[in-house]
Amino acid sequence: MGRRLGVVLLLAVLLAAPAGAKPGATRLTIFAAASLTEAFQSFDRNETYSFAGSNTLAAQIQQGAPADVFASASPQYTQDLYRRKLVEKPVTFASNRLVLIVPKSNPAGLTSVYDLARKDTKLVVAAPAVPVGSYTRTVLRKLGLLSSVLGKVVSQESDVKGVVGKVVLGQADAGFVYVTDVKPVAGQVTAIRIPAWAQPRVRYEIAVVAASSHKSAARAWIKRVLAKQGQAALARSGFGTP
Amino acid sequence: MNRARFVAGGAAVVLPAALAPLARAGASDGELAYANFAIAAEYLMADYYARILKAGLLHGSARNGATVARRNEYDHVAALATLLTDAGQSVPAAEDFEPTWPPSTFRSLGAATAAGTKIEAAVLGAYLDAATTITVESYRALFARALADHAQHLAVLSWVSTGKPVTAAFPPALGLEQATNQLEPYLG
Repeated sequence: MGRRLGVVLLLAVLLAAPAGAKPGATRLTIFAAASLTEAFQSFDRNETYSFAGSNTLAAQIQQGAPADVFASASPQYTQDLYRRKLVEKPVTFASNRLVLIVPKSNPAGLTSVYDLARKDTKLVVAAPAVPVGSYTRTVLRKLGLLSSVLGKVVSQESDVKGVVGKVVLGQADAGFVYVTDVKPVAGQVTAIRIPAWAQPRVRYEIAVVAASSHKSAARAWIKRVLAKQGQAALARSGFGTP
Repeated sequence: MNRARFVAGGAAVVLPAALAPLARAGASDGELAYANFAIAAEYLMADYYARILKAGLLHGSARNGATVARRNEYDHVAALATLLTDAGQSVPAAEDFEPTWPPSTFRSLGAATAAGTKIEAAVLGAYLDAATTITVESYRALFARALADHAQHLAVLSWVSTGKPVTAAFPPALGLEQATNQLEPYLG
């Protein structure tokens, strides 16, 4: 009797085990910066993703949205959530650079970022609260073009994909995006380099959400992003090392 | 304390004080753009001199000249960083730039001095432009003093490569866009 009970208990434990013992079996909810869309989806298709501006995602986490992992395009949002104890300690996992994109037809005839100040241009940027919007303003300030170019902004988007979309559709002559956003639309846009000395320091951070009910799986997922396979996927999309 | 250390230490103390009026004067973004360019250019040249020294291509007075030139670049960075900090801008670090040198650059003296001459001339041109267009006096003075240093560096490289330390009069000023185009192949 005692032996049979032991077997039953063992079976019960084995049947209950997968969720806890095999982190890969848990379907995680990943909140990630819009610029990570292609890279994360190519890295792991088995999770549930929510891609948007990092500021929007951070606000949703503050309001209790059910996420397991938060990947931000700026340390500003992960560090803020960490101070509020809403995420575990963030780690840097990638870097990026900005470029100016123009439609293939290039109606404004732009060949240099300096042309933005010289030519009549319809420019699209992300809103200042969005990381890429803040980085865009840093670039323009460093180039000494902020005051002369901001007046040419016709639209401020809520994330970087909004900027890409406006340029692809020809609703703007140019837009500031990450270099990693160019590859998926390479046939529709041309990228114009921004001088290395005007580049902002773009660092991506990732953290486990404190309210997650799958923390060990979330930690394991982040570990995979930081490992060779994850870094290779990010590199294929054009991201730099942390 | 030897003379070099005394001079370097003195520069570190004197320059920020000399530049103190800048914050009150309020340099424009257009003027601060020169400082952002210049910090990258100075890091690039510091890397250049480190590499040419490591390659063992220079000897005697030329080697001493390159050693001092490298130290000059770091002194320039310190002064430029003060400008940006006073203006509320972040200061880039050396690791924010990854100089890219063609593989053959430091394999021969000719290739190395050609690259160095090209970059020093672009930096000199940009600083000339800065010194003639910037309105804030202390800021303009910094660029004028730094360009005097770069003219000496250029003379050393010219002397090493052609035997002629003095070149044509009135080197051209270069706008930031032109100077950037000259440096882009090396700045990555």
